[in-house]
Amino acid sequence: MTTTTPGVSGTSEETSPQQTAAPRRDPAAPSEVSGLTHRLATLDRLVELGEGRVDQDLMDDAAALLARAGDRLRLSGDHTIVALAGGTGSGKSSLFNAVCGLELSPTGLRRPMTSSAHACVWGLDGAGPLLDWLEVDKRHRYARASALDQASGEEQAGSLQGLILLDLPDHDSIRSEQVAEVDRYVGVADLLIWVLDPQKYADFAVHRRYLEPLAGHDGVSLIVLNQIDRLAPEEIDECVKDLRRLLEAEGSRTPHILTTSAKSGAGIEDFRDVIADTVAARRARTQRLVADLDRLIQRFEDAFGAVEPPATIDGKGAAALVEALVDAAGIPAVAEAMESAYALRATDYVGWPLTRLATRLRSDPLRRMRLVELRDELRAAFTTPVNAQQAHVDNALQDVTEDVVRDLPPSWRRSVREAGRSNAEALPETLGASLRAVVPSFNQVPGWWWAVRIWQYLLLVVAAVSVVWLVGIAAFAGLKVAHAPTRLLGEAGLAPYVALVLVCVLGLGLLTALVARNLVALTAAKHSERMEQQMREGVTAAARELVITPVEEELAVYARFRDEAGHAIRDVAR
Amino acid sequence: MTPPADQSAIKRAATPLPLDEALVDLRDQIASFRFVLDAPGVDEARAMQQDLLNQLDDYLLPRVRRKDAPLLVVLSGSTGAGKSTLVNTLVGERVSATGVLRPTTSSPILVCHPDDADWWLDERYVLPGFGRVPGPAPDAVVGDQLVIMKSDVLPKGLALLDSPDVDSVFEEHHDFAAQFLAAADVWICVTTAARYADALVWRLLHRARDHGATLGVVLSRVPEGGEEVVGHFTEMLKDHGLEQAAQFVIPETTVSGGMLPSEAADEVQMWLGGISEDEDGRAEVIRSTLGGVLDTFRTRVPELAAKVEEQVALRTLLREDVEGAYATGLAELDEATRNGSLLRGEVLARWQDFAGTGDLERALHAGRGQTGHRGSRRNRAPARVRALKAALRSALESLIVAGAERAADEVVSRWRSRPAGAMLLEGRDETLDRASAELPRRVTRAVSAWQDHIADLIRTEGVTKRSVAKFVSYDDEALALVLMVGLFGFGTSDIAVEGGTSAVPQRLLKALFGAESLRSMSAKARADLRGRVGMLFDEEAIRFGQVLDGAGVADETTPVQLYQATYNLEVAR
Repeated sequence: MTTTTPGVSGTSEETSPQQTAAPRRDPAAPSEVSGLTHRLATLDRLVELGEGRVDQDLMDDAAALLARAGDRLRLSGDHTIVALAGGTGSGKSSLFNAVCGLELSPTGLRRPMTSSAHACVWGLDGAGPLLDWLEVDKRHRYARASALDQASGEEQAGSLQGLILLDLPDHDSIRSEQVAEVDRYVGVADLLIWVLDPQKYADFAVHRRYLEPLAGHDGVSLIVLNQIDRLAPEEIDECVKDLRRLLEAEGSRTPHILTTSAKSGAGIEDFRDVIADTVAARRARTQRLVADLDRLIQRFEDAFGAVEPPATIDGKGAAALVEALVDAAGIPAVAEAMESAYALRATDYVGWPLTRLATRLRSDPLRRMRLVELRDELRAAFTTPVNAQQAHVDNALQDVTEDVVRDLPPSWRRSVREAGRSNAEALPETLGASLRAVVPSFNQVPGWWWAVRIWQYLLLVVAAVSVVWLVGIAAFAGLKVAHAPTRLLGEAGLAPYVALVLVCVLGLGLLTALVARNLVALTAAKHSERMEQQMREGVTAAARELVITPVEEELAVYARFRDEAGHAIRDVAR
Repeated sequence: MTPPADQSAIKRAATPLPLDEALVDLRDQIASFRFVLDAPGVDEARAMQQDLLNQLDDYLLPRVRRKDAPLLVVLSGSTGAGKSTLVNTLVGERVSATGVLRPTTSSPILVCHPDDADWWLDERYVLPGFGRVPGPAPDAVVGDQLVIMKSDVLPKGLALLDSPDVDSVFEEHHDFAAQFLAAADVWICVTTAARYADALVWRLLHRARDHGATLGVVLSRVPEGGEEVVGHFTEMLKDHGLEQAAQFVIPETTVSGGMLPSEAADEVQMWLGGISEDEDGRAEVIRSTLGGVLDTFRTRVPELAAKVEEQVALRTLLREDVEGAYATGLAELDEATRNGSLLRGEVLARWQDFAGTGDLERALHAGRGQTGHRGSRRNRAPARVRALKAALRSALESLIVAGAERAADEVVSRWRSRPAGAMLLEGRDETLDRASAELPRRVTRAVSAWQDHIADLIRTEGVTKRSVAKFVSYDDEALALVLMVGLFGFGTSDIAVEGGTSAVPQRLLKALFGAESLRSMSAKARADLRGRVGMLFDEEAIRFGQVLDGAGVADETTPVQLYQATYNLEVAR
């Protein structure tokens, strides 16, 4: 990530700033950078998993931080962006000039003085893209070459190599358009220097807008109480103590406060040393991003449920879902209807034909209403069970995830619920299809129906023959219309036997029909039971595929998110 | 002061309301509502309302009732500008703490002439919201208590109030400062050379301008060679329309004993002296501030009224969200009970069972004519009829419940997308985004009542065609079911057509009753269903209405009353 500059001569890790003017790579930096990249990768995964599920503001902020971190890490790591921020008249420009050693930024009594950011760079290598990224106006960029400083005899000047010092406009004057610019720079600077003065150190504007929200950025913030020449020496301590108390009350753990006076020159050297140390350490860049990351990750705690999420809908819930879907598809009703249809069809085969004939001859309202064809249609309607009720399905899905989501954070509760309902539209069709798949096997005509049918017709033929015989006997033997062609017809004594046969045959037919009907009822019940079983299996499969699996997938996403968030949050604690 | 004779003449001529009653009336009107719905700018509206109330309570009412009451001069400004130091200098003794710590003044201090002390110590008159503590008081006094100090140096009829700052981290100070300013006859804004361009200073000055107050501006701590600053400041005042304000410059000097060298504050002292001692000057100050404040009411109250109208409009919008969602639900339900989508699953299976097994045919029995018509053979196939009826009922119930669930969900998501709606839902959306708990019971009642209604229709209006009546009678209950199945669009859904049955029920019913009669029965049955479901949905929607009404949004008459009160005030002046 960092760019190397030839001619590096760093011998010890803790090289004091004065010892070398050339940019060096801090040995601590790579591991710090890789630690940061690792955490950024975690955040990236969190954004990927949480997108569209977790609070959109948080996702947007996380994405913005990722983008900014990516940009900053790609750009020169040898430079440290140090921003001087503060209210109007606190002396930002004076400090800027004092550090630069030149009057680069205009100072004066008029307020507000500085209207756009000024930048001064020590060490130009790689600074260009960084300044472009910062969007500093080209007219307000200045460069200080370390060689020049050394020539002019300023001993520590070289230690500022790699510094980009920004003089920001104020954030509290009536030029409100500057606030956005200040916000932008405050967002991207590696080290933030808040310039306060005895008059303004407790101002609402700076505390509420910047210092309080950035309270966790101790490591990359420096508070400078400027203009101490206006205070008596004992007042300075009092003032610093009060300021420290204020900052600590806002959540800052170890506020770093310096006192300076650009006018008298007091404290300026210390101030410069602090900047020089920060620049030499080359860690501000990553520290700043780490601080931002820490602050952002804390917001993920809301989306991080304390309770281990369930992996799936439990057996009870799944059973209740299947039961509700079975009802929605009307499976018991379909099975019953199929049973009726089966019985009805069976009657066509195994019923006693004479009984059927008799029914047919009875008065038929449909025929009288000239609606005979309706009967066939009514019959035909039997063959297809159809899709489940959408409304039933919707209602069944309302409750399916309730048990699962109880302990989830609200945003995930919503997304898991939605996952449960994601296929609500497709369910009725799928349920219908799984039902229809079962029906054809049921519509077959069993062999014994044919056997019974043939047997019945055989009996009928026998009965018909008997009738003819009886008639013959009656005609030839009784009425003697003609001479009997055979003895069989002429013998009146045969009549009782024939009649007995006829009665037996008819009785046998009825008996067969009765037995067959009972048999049919028995098998119909069995069939319908089997069919209901198969339909249930279909519904169970559909429920698993279209409801439970999406819920499980969503829960898995949450579990992974929770895992990652847990890691991220633990990283913060560390 | 305005000539009393003049004023009373106008009063008699133009209005029955004296000024203070008009003000009380206006105050009551302004206090009668709250801004409850979150919307852009609502915080400003709340502040505006509080501002008006404070000004009425703390300044206008006391001042109108007692024209001779002492003048209140409030010193306000940035932290560290030296307000307390100035007060001390003007009084000539250390009455208010000064120091380098910011903010220095935490409890407001009022300095007055001993003769006026009783007036200021009485909480009934000015600033009724503040407690009083006779000074000198120990440091530990809370911010909402006025410390009253007496000083002979101050002229009679004048009090100085050292107000907390308007820009330190202690936000409660800002509110107190705003309230003191609203109560002031004279404002003195103190700022420094270092911060005269601060946004907050100018916000304060704009307030002074907008409130029509008599204003003095002090630029303190001007360093040597600061003429440029003074010039720039004067220019800025002019740019912001504040050139009438009295301007004072105090150079940066050493502070000793919490006081400036007395000559530094001479000009301010003289200005104040001129205001308090000279009767005309005093009257002029009162008249101009009072007039100025009342002038601002001409625009501020209508502005407030406009904000109230926005709230009313917002409430209407939220109500429309509810109505829209349920209307959509009703329309969808209407469509679903028409296009055959109900005839699926159990209902269709039961229908097939009923129609296919011949029970339907048996429901029409031949040869009895009208006589057999009252259900003599109802016991023949009760199981299937009952099952179909139950299936129809449960399907319709589910449909209605699902529709209500969807509508509730829709309302919640629409509300959630608006800040005001999201606020109303706070803590409630867990119950509101579902249909109400009693709904299933109500739906059951409504649906069975509808089924009974259809049976009634068949009984009373189902006069069989003459040609058919001779040989067909029927079972009403079964026929009612046939009518329902027909109503729900049997034969119109794709699946039923696949099954080879097209509009069987309709054809059967048409054959029985004739097209005309069937149409009228269908229309009645449909209208009845829509009416019942509409009622159910209305009951559901009421839950949202209650939330909305419970929030206590101002109603449509409030803005009108505000306008009226402002008009009365104008007339009373």
